[in-house]
Amino acid sequence: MKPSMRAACNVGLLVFLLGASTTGAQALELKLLLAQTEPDGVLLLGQPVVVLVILQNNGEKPVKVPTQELAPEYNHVRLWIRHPAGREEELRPPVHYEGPGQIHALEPGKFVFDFAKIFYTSQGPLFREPGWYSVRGLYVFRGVTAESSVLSFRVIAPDDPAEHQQAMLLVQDEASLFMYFDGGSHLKRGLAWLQSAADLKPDSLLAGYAWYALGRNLTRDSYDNRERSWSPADLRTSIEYLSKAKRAPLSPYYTKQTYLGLIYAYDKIGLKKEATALANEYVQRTSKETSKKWYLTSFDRDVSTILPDFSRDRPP
Amino acid sequence: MRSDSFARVTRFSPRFMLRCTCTVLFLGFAVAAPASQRLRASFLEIDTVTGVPFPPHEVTHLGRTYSLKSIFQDGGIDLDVRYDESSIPRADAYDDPELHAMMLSHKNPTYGEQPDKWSAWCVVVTRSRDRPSILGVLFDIKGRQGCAVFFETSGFTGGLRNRPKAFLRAFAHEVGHVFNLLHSDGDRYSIMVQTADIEPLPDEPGTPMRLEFTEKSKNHLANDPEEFVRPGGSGFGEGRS
Repeated sequence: MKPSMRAACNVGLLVFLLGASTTGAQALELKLLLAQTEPDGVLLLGQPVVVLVILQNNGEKPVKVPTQELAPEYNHVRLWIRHPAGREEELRPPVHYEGPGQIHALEPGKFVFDFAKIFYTSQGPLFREPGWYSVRGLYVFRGVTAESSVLSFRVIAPDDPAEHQQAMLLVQDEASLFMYFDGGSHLKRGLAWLQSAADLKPDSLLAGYAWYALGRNLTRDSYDNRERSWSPADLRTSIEYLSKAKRAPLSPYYTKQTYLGLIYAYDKIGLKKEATALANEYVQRTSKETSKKWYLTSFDRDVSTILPDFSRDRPP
Repeated sequence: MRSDSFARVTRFSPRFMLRCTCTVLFLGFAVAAPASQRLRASFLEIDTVTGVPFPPHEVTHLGRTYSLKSIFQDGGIDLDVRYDESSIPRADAYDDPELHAMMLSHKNPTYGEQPDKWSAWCVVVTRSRDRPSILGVLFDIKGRQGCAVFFETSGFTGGLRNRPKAFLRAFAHEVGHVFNLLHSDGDRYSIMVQTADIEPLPDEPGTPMRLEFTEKSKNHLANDPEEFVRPGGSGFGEGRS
C-alpha cells in the first residue's frame, strides 16, 4: 500500500486518554487509562495532526472538571512533544484562552473530551520533517493532576513528487497557521501556498486538507487590513472547495469539520434541505463505527448551533 | 537646652554642613535610584470595536482605588496607557483569525516599541464566535503579540457590562500574559489566577478577588531578563519555571 494511502486509512487522528491522579482527596478517584486507536499511526508530512484528549473519571466520586477545555490553549492540559532527534519540548500553542469556562462534576464512569491541534505552535509548524514523534500530556486543574502515557506516531514523506511538493507547501509557516486557524484572509502568503498545493494535485489527500482550509475560510466574512472593512463570505465557492475536501479521505476530525462547514454554508444561503441531508449523511457514515463516537458527539454539539431543529436517533 | 543645641548646630563649619548635605543627598539618591531603575516602561494601546467600552479607568475594591497604571506600577512596569481607537468595525462575534487580522492592522505605530519603552496592545471586542464563554485570548505567534478581551462573554451573566471589577481584572490579567505572566504566578485570589478559580466571582458579594499581582509576578515583571518580559519577546511561558 502506498504510504499516502496508509496515512489516509490508518490515522488522521490520534487518541490518548488522560486519567489517573496523584494529589488531593479527589485525585485518588482517578486512574490512568491509555487508549490509542491506531497503534500503527502513520501521518503524511504536511498532514495536520490533531489529538483527541479524553479525561475519564474511573473513581467512585464525582470530580469537578472543566467542560470542553482540554485543548492546550486552555492551559489545563500541557503537552510535550519528542522529536525524531530525541529532543523534547513543551508544546506552546499560538493562542491561549481565558475562562471563566464551564465547570461541572464529572460523574464516575463519565468522560469529557476535546480536540487539540498540535501541528502549529507559537514558534511555527511542528512536524517539518519525517520521523518518529511522541506526545505526552499532563492535566492539572484545582490541584487534581492526571498524566497520560506516551503516544507515538510516525511522519513520512510522500513518495509521489507532486504530493511531496504539496507537503513542502503545507509545512510553510503561514500555510500551517492558515490551516490552524481554519482560514484567515489576512494571511495572504499562506492562502496562496495552500491554493498552490490544492492545484498541484487536486485529488490527493493533502489537497483535501488544503481545500478544507480554503473552503472554511470562505464561510466567514473576511477583514481587509487596508480598507479596514469586512467583506462578505463567499459561500458558493466555499461549498465548491469543501465538496472537494469531502471527497478526500481526511482524518475523522477533518471529515467532521468539513461536513459542518458545508452544512453551515448551505444553511446560510437558504438551502436548509441540503444542509439537513448532509447532516444525515454524516451521521449515517459515522454511526456505523463505534470508534468514531467522539466525532459523532462533537458533531451533535456543533450541528445544533447551525440546525437547531436537526435531530437523529442515537445509535445503540 | 534645646536652644543651646541649636546654637551648637549652627556653629558647625560651612565645610561640615556641605559634607552633611552631600551625604544626605547621596543617601537619598541611593535609596531612590533602585526604585526608578526598577520600573520598566511600556505603552499599552487599547482599542475597542464600536459600541464596546474601554476597560474602566479605575475601580475601588476593598477600600483601595485601582487602575491599570497603578496595578502595573505596583508590579514594576510603568504603563503608559493609551486609549486609542474605539470604532473598529463591529461584529456580533469574532474568531481567532479575525482577531489576529485586527491586531496586525490596528496596532498604532505611534505607540510602537522604542529603545527605552516597550509596546503592548489589547482590544476589547464583543465575544468569541467558537468559544462564547471565554473572557480573553492571547496571541503568541513568534512572540507575545497582543490580546483581546470579550466584553459580551457568556461566561458571566450579562457579560462584563455591570462588572467593572471583573472587567478591569480580566484586562489586567490578559495584559499580564502579554508580559509573560503565567497562571501559576498567581496565588488563590490575585490577578493571574484563572477567573474560574475565584469563588464567588469578581463583583459578586464576598469575592476574595484581589486586584494585585503576587510577589512572584512582581519579581518576574521587574527582574527577569528583558527577552522574557517584553511584549513581542520570547514565546509565552519561555524563560519561566
